[in-house]
Amino acid sequence: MRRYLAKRLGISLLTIFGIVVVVFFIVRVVPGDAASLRAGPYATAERIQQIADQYGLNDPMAEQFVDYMSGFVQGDLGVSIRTNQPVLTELLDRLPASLELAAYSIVLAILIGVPLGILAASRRGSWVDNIARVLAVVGSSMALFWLGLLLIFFFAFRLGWFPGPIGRLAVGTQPPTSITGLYTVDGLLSGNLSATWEALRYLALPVFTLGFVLAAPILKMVRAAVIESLESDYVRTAKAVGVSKRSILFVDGFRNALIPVVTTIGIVLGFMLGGNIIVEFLFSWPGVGKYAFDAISTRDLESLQGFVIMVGVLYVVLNVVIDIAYALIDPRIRLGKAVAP
Amino acid sequence: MRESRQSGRWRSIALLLTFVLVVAACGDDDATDGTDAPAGTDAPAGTDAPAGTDAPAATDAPAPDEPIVVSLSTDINILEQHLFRSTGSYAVTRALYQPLLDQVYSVEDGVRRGTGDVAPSEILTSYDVAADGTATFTLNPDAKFASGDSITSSDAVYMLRRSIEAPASYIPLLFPFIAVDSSTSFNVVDDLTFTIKPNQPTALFNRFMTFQVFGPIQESLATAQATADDPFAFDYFTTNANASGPYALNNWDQAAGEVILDPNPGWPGDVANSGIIVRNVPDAEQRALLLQNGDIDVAAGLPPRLLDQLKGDANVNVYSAPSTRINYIGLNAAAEPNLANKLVRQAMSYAIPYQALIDNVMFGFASPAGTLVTSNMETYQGEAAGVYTNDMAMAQDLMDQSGVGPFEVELAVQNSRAQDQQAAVFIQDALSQIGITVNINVLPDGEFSGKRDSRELAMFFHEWFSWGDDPYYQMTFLAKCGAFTNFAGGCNERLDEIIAEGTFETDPAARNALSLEAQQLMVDDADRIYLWSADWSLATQSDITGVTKDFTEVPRFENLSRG
Repeated sequence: MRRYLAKRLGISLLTIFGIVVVVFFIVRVVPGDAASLRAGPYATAERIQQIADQYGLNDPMAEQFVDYMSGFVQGDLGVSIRTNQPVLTELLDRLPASLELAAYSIVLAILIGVPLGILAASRRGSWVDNIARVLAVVGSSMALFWLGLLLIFFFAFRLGWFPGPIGRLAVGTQPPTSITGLYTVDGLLSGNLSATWEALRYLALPVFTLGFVLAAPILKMVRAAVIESLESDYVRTAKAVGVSKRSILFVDGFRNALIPVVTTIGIVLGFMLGGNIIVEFLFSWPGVGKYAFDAISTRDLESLQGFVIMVGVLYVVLNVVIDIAYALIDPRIRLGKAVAP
Repeated sequence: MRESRQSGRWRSIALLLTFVLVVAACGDDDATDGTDAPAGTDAPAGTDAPAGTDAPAATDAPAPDEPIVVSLSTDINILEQHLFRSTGSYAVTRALYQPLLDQVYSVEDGVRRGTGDVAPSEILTSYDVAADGTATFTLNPDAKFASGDSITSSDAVYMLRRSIEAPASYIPLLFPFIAVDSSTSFNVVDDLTFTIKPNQPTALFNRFMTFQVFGPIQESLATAQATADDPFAFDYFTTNANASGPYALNNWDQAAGEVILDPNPGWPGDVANSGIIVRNVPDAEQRALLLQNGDIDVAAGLPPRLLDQLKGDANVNVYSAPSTRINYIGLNAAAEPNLANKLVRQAMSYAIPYQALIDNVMFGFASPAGTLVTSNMETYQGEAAGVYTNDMAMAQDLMDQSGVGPFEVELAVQNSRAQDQQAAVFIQDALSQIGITVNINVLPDGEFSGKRDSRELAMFFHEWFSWGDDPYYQMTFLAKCGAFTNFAGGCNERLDEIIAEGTFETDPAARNALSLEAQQLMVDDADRIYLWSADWSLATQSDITGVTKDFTEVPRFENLSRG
């Protein structure tokens, strides 16, 4: 297992290096002069030159790359053109908001997708299966933006059950003492239960928006994987020798279907960490997705570069975690050889 | 078996139908009224039904002493007043830094509108201009920074010196208009008195002194925070402020996009509210709904369609006033050779249905543009200049004269500007009638501005607003040969001469005459299609008063109050 982990970590570091290299060069081939962008629209040629010198933008590309890498390993992702603040600090300030949203959304997606997928697989062709398949199709085809708008309109503005899309807490509300940056958790840890409750109320609609849409791929994958398991020889044998239906479903069926399910959950989680720009925009959610949106809108390439690298690193970390989960689920993987089932 | 499957299918369909009916039952009876916009975007339309507004707003009206919540379309990115920043930041820095002069206001339709006259602001006791243009300012001894320290003439002169000497400052761009070319023009006379001595009297001096960028900064604080690399402490003031204006910075949560402003205890003037909370809500639809719901008190930056819908809501006031803003389509001959032909450009200008755009795209929240000297701007003489109106016969005639056959051209539109996208469809249809096929290309904002700046776009929408309502100032940026912001790229040497002369001309009659000639030249050159001049607007809860429109159109907070 240790060897397996070491190998995975080695590959991950190489992948991160690759991401940084690709992002570094892509940003530099994007049209537009970085010094001019930073100097602003009416800057003089002298000022642009001054900025180019200050940030080493006239240095040879190789030298710029070495400088960037040495900064990167020290946690320096550059300075935002838009705010003049270190990109890493800004991303870390906003990451907890995105993590909290992603965590609750993935929990909701799993709570919807996994049981419904198992149920649908165990009762193929029944009305439960039909409903599950309709939900999967609706979830897959529903645009996040559209669902978010509907939820906001009905549940925030028409029914008033949830607060409007104005961020993580009501306007002017003091957040709970920061411990983890996750308001629901910080509220609990600091004994500020009203903050936790309020944070949950503000989380509800964006979480449901993401959770419902992302439950669809999980549901489809669980259903397909469990059906495949249930049709396998070993399940047929188990049935023949009189193993109980429940045991077949959850031990033989679901457990053996876990690998593709874990993969799907990993992909979905990765998407949520980096790809919920639309939901964060819609709900004024102050996370890294909205940060990226602002960066794109204002051509803040430094911030965008930092965002892409951070999301890339998160994906790699997530993949390592998934690989470890694989190894725990399936001994064949950690042993690196085929084992008869 | 088959029967059981079929009955299961029917049960599923029945359940689905029930779900759809429940959702439909929750829907808005009036949702189909009003606009023909896509279903996804007409959601706010429904909320103008009084029955639907059983929202918290009606029952949980905020107490009069609660801070006023202002929602802006952009975040607050920088508090440094001498750096370019987001529009949200400009609103906040206007509250933090008080300029030396302010406009004289008159109330019209519930809006305090700035007139062309200026007066000493609250931080001054007097202001005088000598015949040679030297301006003498005397500070109010009661005016203090938020820290409690008095504002001195050294602070004011430091601010002026900093604005012209700091390498990162964009303010040197402004000084040529008031004939100041070095910081030797700024002099401390005593603790409360200082002077600015321009090289010559200028028409724009008074107006410029109302701009927020000329609000005092505490010299001792800036000096203490300065470093060798940053001698004017820009880094410090990017995230901090020792306010000289009506408000002090209580808290800025950058990640949440929220700024809390308290009244500045050292402010010698009046503040009509107990404080302001500025919160960024990027989506205009949500800003409008939050306003209707009572979650926010003031919403800025709403598009005309939403303003039109909000007008029907009794709980909301929509304020608007004519502006000198200009919305045009740039015709860039460098990117499309057919646009180099002046007759083609003129034909295109005649083909545009201007009034239809104002009525259907801007919902009446706009005036005719005319030229860069817009119809609400001083010295406008559209009729005499012969500004374009919709005349398809003339358009076709000019196309025939031009000798240019049918051609295709791309019209670039910003992704975030719905009204431009709608206008593009009208324009596409109009130009097709004279043989020009317009392909509409909606681009992300960043890509749009990048391509526009590098002159890659053949036809593009552009909205521009110049602080100060001055025709020559506006033309300098948009029409002067080689100006960075002359995105259309046209160049007329006579127009350049007029701009240079008019900028420093102080005689109103001479300015009028020069402006008329400039307008005639712009009509003849037709480097741009002058679409409309969008109104200034702001939407508030119905109990909010004290809405102010000044030269800069940046939201002003100090006069806002409940009831």
